[in-house]
This record gives sequence, structure tokens and C-alpha cells, in this order.
Amino acid sequence: MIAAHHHVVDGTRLQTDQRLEADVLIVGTGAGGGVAAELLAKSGLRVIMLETGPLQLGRDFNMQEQRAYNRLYAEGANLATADHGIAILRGRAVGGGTTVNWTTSLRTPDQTLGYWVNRFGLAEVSAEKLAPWFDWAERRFNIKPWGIAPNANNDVLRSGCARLGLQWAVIPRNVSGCANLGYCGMGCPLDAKQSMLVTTIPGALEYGASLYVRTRAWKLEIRRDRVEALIAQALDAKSINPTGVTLRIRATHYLLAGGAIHSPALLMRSHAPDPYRVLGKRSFLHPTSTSLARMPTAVDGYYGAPQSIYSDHYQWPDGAEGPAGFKLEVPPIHPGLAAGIFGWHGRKLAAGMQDLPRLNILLALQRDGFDEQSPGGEVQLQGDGRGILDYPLNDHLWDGVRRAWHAMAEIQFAAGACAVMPGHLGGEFDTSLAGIRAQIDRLPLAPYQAALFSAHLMGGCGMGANPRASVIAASGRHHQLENLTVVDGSVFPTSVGANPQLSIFAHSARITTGLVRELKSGALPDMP
Amino acid sequence: MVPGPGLRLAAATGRRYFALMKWAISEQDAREIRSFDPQRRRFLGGLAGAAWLAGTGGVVSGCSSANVLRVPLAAAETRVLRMLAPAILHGLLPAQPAARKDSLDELLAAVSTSVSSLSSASREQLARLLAALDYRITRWLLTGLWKPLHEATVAEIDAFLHNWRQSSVGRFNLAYRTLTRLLATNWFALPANYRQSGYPGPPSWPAGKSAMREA
Repeated sequence: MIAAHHHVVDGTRLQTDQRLEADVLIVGTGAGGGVAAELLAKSGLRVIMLETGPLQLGRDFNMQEQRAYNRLYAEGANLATADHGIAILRGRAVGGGTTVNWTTSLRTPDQTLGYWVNRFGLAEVSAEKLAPWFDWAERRFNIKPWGIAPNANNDVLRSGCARLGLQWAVIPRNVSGCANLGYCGMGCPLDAKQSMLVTTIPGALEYGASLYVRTRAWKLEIRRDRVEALIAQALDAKSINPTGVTLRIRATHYLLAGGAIHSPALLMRSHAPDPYRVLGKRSFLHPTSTSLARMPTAVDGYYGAPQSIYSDHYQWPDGAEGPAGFKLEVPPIHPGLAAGIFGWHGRKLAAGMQDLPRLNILLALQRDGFDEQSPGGEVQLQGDGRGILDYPLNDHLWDGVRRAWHAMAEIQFAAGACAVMPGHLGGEFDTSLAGIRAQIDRLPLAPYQAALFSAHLMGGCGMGANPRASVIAASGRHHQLENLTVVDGSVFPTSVGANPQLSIFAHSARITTGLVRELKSGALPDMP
Repeated sequence: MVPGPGLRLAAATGRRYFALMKWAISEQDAREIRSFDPQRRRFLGGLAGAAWLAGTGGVVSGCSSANVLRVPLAAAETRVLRMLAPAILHGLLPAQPAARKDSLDELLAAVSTSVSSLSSASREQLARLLAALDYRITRWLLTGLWKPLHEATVAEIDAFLHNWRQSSVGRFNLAYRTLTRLLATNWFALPANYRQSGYPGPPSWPAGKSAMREA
């Protein structure tokens, strides 16, 4: 637990400009930064962590949607891609996404790693070489397949797949003493979720690291091939606007873990060398479509572990490339979130919502970045200098969305649904599979009409052997900057094809351990 | 020639309307509008005017909403949202006037909190949309309603929301999603309205919570 004797500074309260020094400066406290901070501090290095969001602890988490979205998510959970075509849930508080995610902890699929090895020359990340790092992360964060029966919402996916003979499996979760409440997305009120907030960040602080919250990394001062300093802005109480107080931090090494929008954006604002124009490109987000079902009995999808079952039946239809594959999961069904997914108004909204206890929702997370037709999006800088993700929607993606609606509807009816509806402005509940299939084929596939979401931001600082086609090397080191390393989800050269947190844990541990051994030979003997 | 005050006012007003239309009509939408098939989907007459505005290429920047952006929700914005709420939340608001007002106050306070979490870029886009609904000409172009929103019936507002939802012009779908989501999400997330969705609310946990923490 973060305790009173730990060195935590709230940027909002700073009155004067600061000059700080550290061995390693870490930007971001999510899955990547959190893992790195503890390892670095444990090895005896002086560590400073910067976090844009606020520090919110378990006792602050009261299971109220509005409070959680406003305090713990970027833009109060109203973030979206540049043209608003895809809504983005992105954590923004100490612990980053790990504070608010739904605890799904899946390893990077072997097919994805095989693709990275072959396509990006990344022999260092083969399934065999990464296995000890996954083992380490699973021990550190108590990751185990969920041992309690799935809630009825997840059971729709399980039983539907089972009846149709489709693959399904139990999801491993990073929890300890979980009471199966179902409020992981609003911050765990029991500190049962093994997020960075209750594991590595207190760990790093205990080893003497410092944490600056409501402090935004704004610009790197770069001279030739080295970073000389980082300029950060202290932020107001909402973690939005700068107060005017700045921090200038000098470090031997700089570690970026601000996530797949902010790590590329920080490098862009700083005019970091990018001789081959690859920075910020190939950004991915598992574009996610939805299918809603009215079940015959109560589902109560607001209670119980939010995600405990997944299906990869449609994930690798033709190997890694070709038509988009998708992973099937479910979201928790709280009223605010559900009202947003309905995308309706008036009587129709009221009628849809009054059946909330019987509502099941399936999600199809599309695996983007594996085919020429799936180049992903691009991080750009807005007028105010902040990063935004431009993600064009193309026919390859829409084809995946349509197939996913068909697959989800079939599973929901197989599980006994009374009526099913695709997540689309023109969607209508239909009581027959034939009817819903006709509707799905008829619905126009256009931005804003089809509801698309993402909770997984990846890429933009892609890893690769070839500096002409990637931003960082397999070691995590920037190809052109010798004292800058990236450890967050932005390093992935494609989307992961699974919820990314465990992949980020493993890569951050692997990259950071290599860095520590370089900066302090002989340290971290118990790491793989 | 120095333009007279009347002309200057007209020019300033015109610039303002054009700037508002910048929200409503992008290049891509202009293409969609040109390919719009009135036989296939009827839309409000205002659309032709909107297309004309876009087609003139007279879209200029400079809609200064700086004052608006400093407060969570400006008075005019709150007014617009208050007028939209009875249509978006049809049948959900209390009928009794005092209870209805309290309910709307609580909703608008929640919306205001949401809005204060937006980045300045998102905030400005929302400000443009709400301003466009507040100004007569842009409102007419976007919704077909010449009269102020507070004089419009729930049925009239419901009708333009339907048109926005079913439009083949992306920006109308986006405006629909933005406004319905802002109001509906906040409405159903309010504890006072849990019963309308049948949501029993979070488990009551404080006792168990402290017990667990001490263990």
C-alpha cells in the first residue's frame, strides 16, 4: 500500500518551479511504468515516476460510475479517436489502465509472437524466450484462471460456444482475495486487484523512488542522440490544465510508459529524431463491436468478475494475415455504460434500459495490424500540442465487424437469448437468428452508426530490428536516442490479439531487466 | 470604402454562423451531402441550406468560445441541454413539476462534471454543437426548427433526433451519439434513477470492506 512515509508529490500543490535529478525518470505509472519502477528502484537506482492523473486509493473507490469515470479515465471516459469513430476507455490515474481494467491477464498469443519474429526480425520475443517473463509476471501479480463459476453474463458466451462446438476458455485474472463484486472498472474497493497501485508502485516507493502525480511530461530536451532533460507541467486538480509551475528533471536514462498515444506524442512534441517517418504510425486499438441480447432470465451483468470467459474461435481464421480475426469477450453491464452502448433516445432508450437485469452484451475485439489492409491509425499532435489518435475505418475492418455481429448473434441465440440486436444506431431487437442475420446484412457500415469501442491502445513506437520500419529495438531502446527506452503498449508492432496488460508486464520486465543490468551490472539476480 | 456599422455587424454575424457550420459540415460530409439521395431518405429541408453553406467554401475559423470554455457549462449550454432532456429521456423524467426540476438540476450537475473532465479540444467541439443549436439560423439548418428550443414540443425535438439518428450524413449521427450519450449515460448512472433500469446498485460493502482491510 502507498503509505505516509512514501515520497509522493501532488503537482497541483507545487508553488514554485522544480529542478530534480534521478538515475532513471519514468513517464507513466501503468502496466509498463509500474513494473519498470519497482525493478529499477529495487536495483538501487534513484527513480522518479511522473503521472498525469491523480492518486486515488482503494478507499476512494465507491463503485459509482460517474465518480469513477470522471476521476480515473481520460476525458471522463469520453475520449475518442480523432473523428470520434471509436470511443476509447483509457485509464488516467496512478496505476494507469491497471487501476480500472477488468483484470483479464492473457499471454501474448503464440501466433502474434511468431508474426513479430518473422515480420519484424524480433527473434528476442519468440514464445520460448518470453515464457520465463510471463511466468515471472504471473507469479508477481498472482495471475490464475478464475476459479469461481462465471457470472451469467460470461456464461452466455461459455454456454453459447459450448452448444455450437466453438472454442472457449476461462480467463486468468490478476487478483488476490477477490470478492467477485464486479466493479473492477471503477477501481477495486478491496485492493484485491493486483494493479500497479497496490503492487509495484508501493514497492518502488518503499525502495526510495519518488512519485509526482498530476504532473504531465511535456517535452524532452534532446541534444544530438541524447536526452538532456525532461520538462513537465504541474496540473490543476482535474489533471487537465497546467498551473504554470514547471519541473525540469535531469536523468541518466529516460523510460517512456505513457501509453500508445502519449509516448509517441511526447517524442513528436520534442522533435525526437524520426528519419524514416515511422513515429506514431501503426497505432492499433482492437476495434471492438458489440451485440446485445435479451435473455429469458436475470443476467445481472453488473455483478461478478466482469470478464471470466473468452473465445478465440474466430481469432485466426486464415492464420495471422487475411480477413480480420476477433476475440470474443463480455463487458460488465452497469447502467451508465449500457445506456452509452444502446445509443438511443426517448421511448426506445427507456424500453431498452428497463430490461437491464436481463441484458447480455458480447464484445468482438478485432485483431488489427496483421494484414496490409489493416495499417492501423496514426498519433498526431493537436493545436494544443497534445496527442490524438487518427484511426481511419476501412472495408477490411467493416468486414470484420459484420462477421463478428453474425458470430455473436449466433452464440447469443444458442445460449437461449429471446432477442438479439447488433450495436448500431439502426439496430432493432429481433427474436430470430434468420431475422437478425438479414438485419446485419442490411445495416450500413459507417462511422458513428456502428458503435465501436476500444480499451486497448497499442503501437506507435513499434519495436523492430530494422530502424527504417520501427521506432525502438527489441531491447526497448530508441533507435536514434541512446538514453531513451520505451516500455508500454506502444512498443507492440501490431495489436496483441489479447487484452494487453500481461503482454505489457512481460515486455516491461524483460526490457527493464536488460536496462538495469546495463546500468548496474550484477543487479536483479533473481530475474529471468 | 469603410463598411458601416450595420455591414460590420452583418459580416461579424455571418462569420460566426459560418464558424458554427464548420462544426456541422466537414469536407467529407460535403461530399456525402452532394451524393445525398432525397428519394432514399427524407431529411429536413435545412440540409439543402447547410450544403449550400458548405459549398460556398466560406467556412472560416475563429469561433471564439474562450469564455464558454472556462466554465463547466455556460448558461446557454445548460439551457439547450435542459430543452433536449425531455425528448432524450422521454418517459423517464418525473411528471410533477417540482420533482422534475430537481431531477433535471441533478442531471445537469452530473453533465457539468462530465464536461469539466473533457480536454479543451473536445470541450470546444461540444460548445460548437450546443451553440449551433442555440443560434436560430444554424438551429434551423441542423434541425429544421426556426423557433427557440424552449418553444419546441417534445415531439418536434424527438423528430429531429430521429432524423439525426437515421441520417446518412455522418456528422448528424455523431451529433446524435454525442448528445444522447452525454444525457443518457449521466441519467442512468445517477443513484436516484437506478430503479428505472432495474439496477439494484452497488453491493453495500463498508462493513465488509473494513473487515477485509484489517485482515
